[in-house]
Amino acid sequence: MNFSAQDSAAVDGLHAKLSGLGITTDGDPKNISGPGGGYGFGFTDRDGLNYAISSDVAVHSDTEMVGDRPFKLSHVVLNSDKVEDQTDFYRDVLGFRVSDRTERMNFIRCSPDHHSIAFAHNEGPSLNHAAFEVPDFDALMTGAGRMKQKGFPVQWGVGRHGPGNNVFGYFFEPNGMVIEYTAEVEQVDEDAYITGTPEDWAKRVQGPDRWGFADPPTPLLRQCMGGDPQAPQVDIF
Amino acid sequence: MAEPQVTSLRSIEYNVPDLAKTSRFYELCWGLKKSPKKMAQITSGPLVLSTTLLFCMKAVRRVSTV
Repeated sequence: MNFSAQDSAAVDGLHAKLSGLGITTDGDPKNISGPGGGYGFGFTDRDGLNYAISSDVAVHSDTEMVGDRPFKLSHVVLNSDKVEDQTDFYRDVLGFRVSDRTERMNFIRCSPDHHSIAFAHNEGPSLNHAAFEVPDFDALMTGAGRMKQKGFPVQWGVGRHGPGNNVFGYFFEPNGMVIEYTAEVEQVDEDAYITGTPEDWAKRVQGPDRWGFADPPTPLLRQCMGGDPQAPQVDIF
Repeated sequence: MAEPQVTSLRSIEYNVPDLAKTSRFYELCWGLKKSPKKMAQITSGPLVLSTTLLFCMKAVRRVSTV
């Protein structure tokens, strides 16, 4: 995964912090010759996952919101058998804040979005899913319809999650990895937000869909979210 | 000086077994566009789509890095 920092000084500061903790990096921050350029460095966390942190990366010329096109990587959910350790690392070292804890997951943020990363209690480390934001609810439904027409029907949803209050629809992509269309992600007021506990959420919402509309995830989706992707046999165009 | 911190999630990189098939899906079904090579400054290597997705053609599927 690749994260942004505000500027080159922040990149340098994060590199110093990680190095001071004995975290393996790929060397000092430097100008990046790869896609988008910028200034940054890479590192590997204690779970063996690889990251990059950069600033001053070029923006793609085509970034406007168009119809139902996903415009942003909203969040990534990682499976981990060390959820609290990982949460502490992201909070104490990378500056994330904890938005909510539930019985199954920890949700953490690095921007006004309710969560950019979540950790699911599971065998790990592995990718649970990646979520992509579309402009609004109507865009999500239109996108879900097109996915269905192309041979990738919704595997879970449409519904509205508890933590984050985001509308969701889950699909497989061609490699069997789980992708989520999401919209209307809760925006956090840093001065007023109170982190929810598993007990809070057990009282607030029954199940992962506030609406009670979505059936549970399919068994295959659960398998893939557990880090064992199975590619659907779909001819793509 | 404020503590340095991450300010946003920029992208995720997947290793995939079939780069062309994956590209077709995200371009034709989602409407993402390849990053221009002059910006990416690459002539080969990872496929970059609208700065949110990077794919490398490898047999192993796992979270990877840039």
